Amino acid sequence: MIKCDRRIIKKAQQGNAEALAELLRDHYTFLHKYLLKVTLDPSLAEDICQDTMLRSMEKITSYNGSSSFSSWLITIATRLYIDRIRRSKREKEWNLRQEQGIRSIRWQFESRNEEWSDVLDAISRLPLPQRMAVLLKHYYGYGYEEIGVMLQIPEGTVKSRVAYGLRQLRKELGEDE
Amino acid sequence: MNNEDKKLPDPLLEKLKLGLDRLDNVYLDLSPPSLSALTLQIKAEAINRRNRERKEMLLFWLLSLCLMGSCLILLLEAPLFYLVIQGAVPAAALVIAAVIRLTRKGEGAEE
Repeated sequence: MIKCDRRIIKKAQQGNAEALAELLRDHYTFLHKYLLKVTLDPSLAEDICQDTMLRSMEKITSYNGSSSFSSWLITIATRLYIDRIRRSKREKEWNLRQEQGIRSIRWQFESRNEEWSDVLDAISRLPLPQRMAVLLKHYYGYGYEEIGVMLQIPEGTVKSRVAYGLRQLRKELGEDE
Repeated sequence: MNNEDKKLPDPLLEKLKLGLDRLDNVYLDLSPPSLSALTLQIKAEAINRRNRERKEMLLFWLLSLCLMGSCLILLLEAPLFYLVIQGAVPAAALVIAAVIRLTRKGEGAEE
């Protein structure tokens, strides 16, 4: 997570465009990488990253400092992504896009002579709610309660999604307990 | 963040972290937009937002003016409308009665 100066946030909230630009630029890569992991689709991640930037410009005054600025951005980005999935009517098209996304990531691995990771394949096969819960809990280290607030679901649901997600991953990677 | 679930390192979680870190490394060149470009975008967005809000406010006032106008007209015209109905009903009854009487008279003369 990125630590940021409260003074910059305050300035940005008071309408200082330069301060807000600095704040958003400092968090841009973090947010983009988060979206890349959640969506597993580079172009979609970039789209939502842009939307999140715009939304945060609009809503900066409503940031109350109860969570870190990066968590606030992650919350906005996650909700925008969920909204986009809900709005897309055709599930088939969505699945196709997911496949294209993972293919594009694979191609990026190959072009950099990097070995493909089975974990990424396993994550891509996880249903989105479980994928998000596992990522936020075990990669970003958020607590169940925080994740619940981010995804607007009860803490118990987060716990069950994380548990289910991990079980699925173990099964996919052949690491059954 | 908290310290929930702090147990011995889970090989699966380590694998997960390594895999995702590798994804980060492959996309290392994700560069943020320049400060000046972002500042310009923020300023443009602020202007757009202000225009949008002004338009919404204008629409709100127009709609409320229309609603208030129609309510006012209804209130002012209601007595006239009421009187018209009050006068029209007996007049119609008288006309109908006269027509019936005239037709009956005509029938009686024929017989």
